[in-house]
Amino acid sequence: MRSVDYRSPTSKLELLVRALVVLALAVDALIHFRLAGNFSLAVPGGIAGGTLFRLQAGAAILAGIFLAVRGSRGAYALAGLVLLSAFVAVMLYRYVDVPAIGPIPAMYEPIWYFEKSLSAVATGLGAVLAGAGLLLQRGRKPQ
Amino acid sequence: MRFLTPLANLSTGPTGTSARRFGSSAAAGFLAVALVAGCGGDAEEQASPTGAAGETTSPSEPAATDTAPRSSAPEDGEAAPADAGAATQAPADEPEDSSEDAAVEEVVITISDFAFDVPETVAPGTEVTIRNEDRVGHTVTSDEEGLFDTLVAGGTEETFIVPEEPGEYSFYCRPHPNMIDTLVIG
Repeated sequence: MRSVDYRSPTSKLELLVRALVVLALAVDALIHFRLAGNFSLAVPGGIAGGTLFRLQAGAAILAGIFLAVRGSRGAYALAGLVLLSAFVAVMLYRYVDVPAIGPIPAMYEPIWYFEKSLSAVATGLGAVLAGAGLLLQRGRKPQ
Repeated sequence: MRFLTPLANLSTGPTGTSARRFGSSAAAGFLAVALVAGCGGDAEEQASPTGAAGETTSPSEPAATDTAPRSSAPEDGEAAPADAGAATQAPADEPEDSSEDAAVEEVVITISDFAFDVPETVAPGTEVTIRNEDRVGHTVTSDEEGLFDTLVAGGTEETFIVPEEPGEYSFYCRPHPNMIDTLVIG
């Protein structure tokens, strides 16, 4: 009888989850970079909306590279944090008219369009998958 | 050895080899995506699906093509100047009859709750006021590149001159591309 090592150091499932989280981060970065210029027009005050978008995109790139290279718990946690922050922000400013808070401008935008919807879906699913990746990592035994 | 766990794991066994391969190729792919995004991402024209502010030819024409807009569009994209009067409807022998009260009437495009409210028709070459009642900025940007493209900050007003050629001109808001409407000039 062949035995299966369910605690294989790097399972195919973990690789798949990692790839999908990296993909979600890539989509997050790409869309935020694309929308940054126009968002500066809409929200020029405080830290301009475009600057916030570029910061988000930069964080997503760094988290994506870190996760792709390392695949550690810390990398999953960082990826999940970046994706969750983007998802919460897009949902919050879609449904709640949040006023300007210090340097963060009011960014209420009660509409959906393609890039925004895609970003919300990608970051939401990506955050869930990052959590799953984290759980898979917890199940692994250190060698 | 503990702190090297992830890397050590990746290098063991067949799955470890594929993981290592995955790691390096995924990182390379991610960097490529980042470079593409970084190179082309921040210009305003990038986000407009209709490409109205881009350099290439506009993919979408105005709704009505019976009166094709002038080919000598203004360079700055702000508005069509009213100085090309000879090209249109023979106003030559109109002796400024009674200084036209209607001409004084303000024509307004109102933006409220992320939607345009546009007058039914606007006379050619009219100065139109755009009143933005939202807190965020919007633009009134013609689908056809260069005809008009006016930014109105939140809670402010701006004016622009509509084209001299009668017709239907579809337009949109650059930051919010699903905000679309049509300006009928005639």
